Amino acid sequence: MDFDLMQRVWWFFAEASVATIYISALAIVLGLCLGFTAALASLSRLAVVRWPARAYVSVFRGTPALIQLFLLFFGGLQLGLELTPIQAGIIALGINIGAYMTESIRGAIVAVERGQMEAGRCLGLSHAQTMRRIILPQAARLMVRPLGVNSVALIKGSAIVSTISVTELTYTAHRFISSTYKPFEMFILAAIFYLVIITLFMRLIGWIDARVALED
Amino acid sequence: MSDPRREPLVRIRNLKKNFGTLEVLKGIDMDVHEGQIMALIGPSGSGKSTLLRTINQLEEVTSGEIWFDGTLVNAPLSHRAREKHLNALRRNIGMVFQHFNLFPHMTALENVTMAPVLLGLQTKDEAREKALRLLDKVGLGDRANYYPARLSGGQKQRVAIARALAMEPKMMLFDEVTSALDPELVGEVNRTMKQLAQENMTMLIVTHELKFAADTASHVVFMADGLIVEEGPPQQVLRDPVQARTRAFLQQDD
Repeated sequence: MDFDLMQRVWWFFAEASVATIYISALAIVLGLCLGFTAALASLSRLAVVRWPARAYVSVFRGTPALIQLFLLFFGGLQLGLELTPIQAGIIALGINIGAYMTESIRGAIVAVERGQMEAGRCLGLSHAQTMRRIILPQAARLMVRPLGVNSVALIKGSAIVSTISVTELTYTAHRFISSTYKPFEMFILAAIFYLVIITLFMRLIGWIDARVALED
Repeated sequence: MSDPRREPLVRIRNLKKNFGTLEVLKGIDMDVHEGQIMALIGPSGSGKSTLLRTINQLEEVTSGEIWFDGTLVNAPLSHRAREKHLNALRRNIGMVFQHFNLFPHMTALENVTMAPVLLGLQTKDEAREKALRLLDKVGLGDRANYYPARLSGGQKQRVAIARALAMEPKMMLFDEVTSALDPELVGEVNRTMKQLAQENMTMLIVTHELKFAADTASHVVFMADGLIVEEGPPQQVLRDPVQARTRAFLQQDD
């Protein structure tokens, strides 16, 4: 293994990590917004509200993220939608992970004991008030871990935006391979940076999970 | 005690409830008068919990009428109007559950103050003062800042009673509130309910504890297979029942 080469180029990978983190962070925020909206919609009493949310989840979980990205970036261009690669990457990843997050959030909400809704309603609270004050605060604790898992999948999956020339970790590895012909070293470097990012991220999730845990 | 000249607080007429093809209530007629302590007894599956839960519409009914304080509880309304109607109705009917259903993310005090404050019935200070008084009354004045996870079953159930009382309900529903408790914790909850009975609260109590029913209730209703078999004063229904079905149930229990 060419450690000397790795030492010379690692800084470029560190810089590319910032791009990976930036894209992932924005995609996670977008995914959470979509996930919350679709989760609440999928629990609606009204079929017209429920149906689009269910369709969103089925379509975006049922097709490859890479195809979704290409559809948005190349297909969008064809239809006159001009996005920069980084914009297209964030939007495509966000919409894709949002579908998974919908299920995590919905699962956490329905996992809150049924008696909690009854207790709230028996006190004269409306459905919305009970949701906001009783159900969601308890569901929030249950969704931290699954949303963490979704986010880790997203960070790793963000590698696909290298295919539309966004200069993130995987793209940087490819770039150095074409000039150095050392794929082993370059991919190892990229892997190390992914591992560091994800380890730190898991720590963050663990910390949040401990903070929101019930006192008992 | 109840005044027979006055309209009953709850009037139920020919109430039927099906779960799919299963008939759970097969035509119930029942009156609950103000100040009455009514115990609903009967074998499991007789429909007594379901009957209790139809009064505040946790269960929708299939047919029949339920009146509470002069309004038709199960009036045919649009979804939106019905929700509003039920929210107003439920403020006047306190309910205590078998599994407490305390809000685990709130302290005992917050459990009690949350609804009156959120609904704008009491200011924060009023609600707090009142909640502390209620917690004191159920013997938990020193547990106000405890989370439910740190309370025993009996303590949780007493907080749940205080929570319901904070709404100043006209009536209280108790759904097998001691069934999930360790035997040694049943007494403290029963004492709280007796105290409430002495204060003339109208109470409808689904219970398996015949001794408690005999001591506390002013009226006992025996249900079996979705029908009221027999009702009357506790000494009559529990000591000298007319119906063979009631006698069989009471003998089984001995």
